[in-house]
Amino acid sequence: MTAFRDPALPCFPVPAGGGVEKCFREEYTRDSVVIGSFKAPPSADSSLQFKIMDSRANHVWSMNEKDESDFRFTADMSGNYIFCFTDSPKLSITREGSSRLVEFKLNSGVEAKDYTEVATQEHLAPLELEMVKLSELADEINQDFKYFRSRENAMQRTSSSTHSRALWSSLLSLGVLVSLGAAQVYYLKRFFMAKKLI
Amino acid sequence: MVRIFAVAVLVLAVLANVSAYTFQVEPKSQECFYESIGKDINTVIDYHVLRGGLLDIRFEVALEQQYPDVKLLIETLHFEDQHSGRYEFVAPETGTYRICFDNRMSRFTAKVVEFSISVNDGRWGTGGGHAKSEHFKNMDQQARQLSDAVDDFTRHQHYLRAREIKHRNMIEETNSRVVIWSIVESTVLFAVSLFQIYTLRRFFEIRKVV
Repeated sequence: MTAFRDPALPCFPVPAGGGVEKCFREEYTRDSVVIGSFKAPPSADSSLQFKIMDSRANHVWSMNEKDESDFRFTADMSGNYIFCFTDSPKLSITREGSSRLVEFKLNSGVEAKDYTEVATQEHLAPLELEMVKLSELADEINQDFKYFRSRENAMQRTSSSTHSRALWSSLLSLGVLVSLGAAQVYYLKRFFMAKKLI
Repeated sequence: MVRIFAVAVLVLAVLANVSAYTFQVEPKSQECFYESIGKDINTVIDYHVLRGGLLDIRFEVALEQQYPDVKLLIETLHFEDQHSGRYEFVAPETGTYRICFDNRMSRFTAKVVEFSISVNDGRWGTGGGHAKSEHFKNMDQQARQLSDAVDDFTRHQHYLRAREIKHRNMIEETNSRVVIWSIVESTVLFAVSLFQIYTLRRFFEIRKVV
């Protein structure tokens, strides 16, 4: 085992001063369970502000003053969810250019489920628990592929709508061009006749 | 029975190993991430540009040494059709590695980038564990192969999802471009023809040809 913390968890800097917001976004389908955690080194002159917003800009989760925490929520509607970190300074003077490295972990679906609870509730042996996990994972994979299919369907529809819109747009501009040309010729003919030039 | 349990544990241990981040890189700025990686660890970084302009971004991985020295491992301008969006390397030293996505070459377009790091943390170790008999050694190998296959599968699924998002963005943009274009074109044609008529009228009226 390595001596490092949880493998493959990168950190990102949150600049001090509160001017810059570091945001991440993730797409979730309705009723997905999302859990995660963040961790930042403690700092004397600022605190970390964390918030989660859904695609309609409603606040799903807000947390100030905590440098380290877990969170968990269920997605009410399908769409993009945004997770933002800001540095909020406690004093009005902050060191220029400094930043804190924040670790952020995000999991959803099967990875988010608490299996120890399931084990105690249904009195499962460890092996049986692993089997249940595997089975639910297989279900999730299946559902993921169904989701892919429905999205591919939607894209197909958008694509063919674009295709026919391009055709109608060309015909429209052709029609506008021809009719405007004819209208111009007709108007000029009338104009010159009125001026007795023709 | 115990072996099935081992397989199950291995399979699940694998799936928690991929962490993905999706974020926006503003024009004229870059976003950097720092990761501690041990020496000789096989690391794979998969990234996609999901939205924005030509879907290009400058990708850089560097090893941070004694400040201010930095050892550059790779720096490349990633283009959609030319690069695979995958960088695999073996960490030369234990230390902090900096992964940057640079959008400074763009003046107006923000880019949405998604990346994930997979680390092969040598979980298989050396030797076959407790397995001594041939029978168990085979099972062990099968379990490892299965676990690696599931790892690959998870990565493929992740890749598919990113590509789906990318294509969806592109198609929606194309669709709205067609609508806007038709409206603009019709308006311009109309305005141009009115302008022509008006100019001709003025031309004849000033000259007083009549």
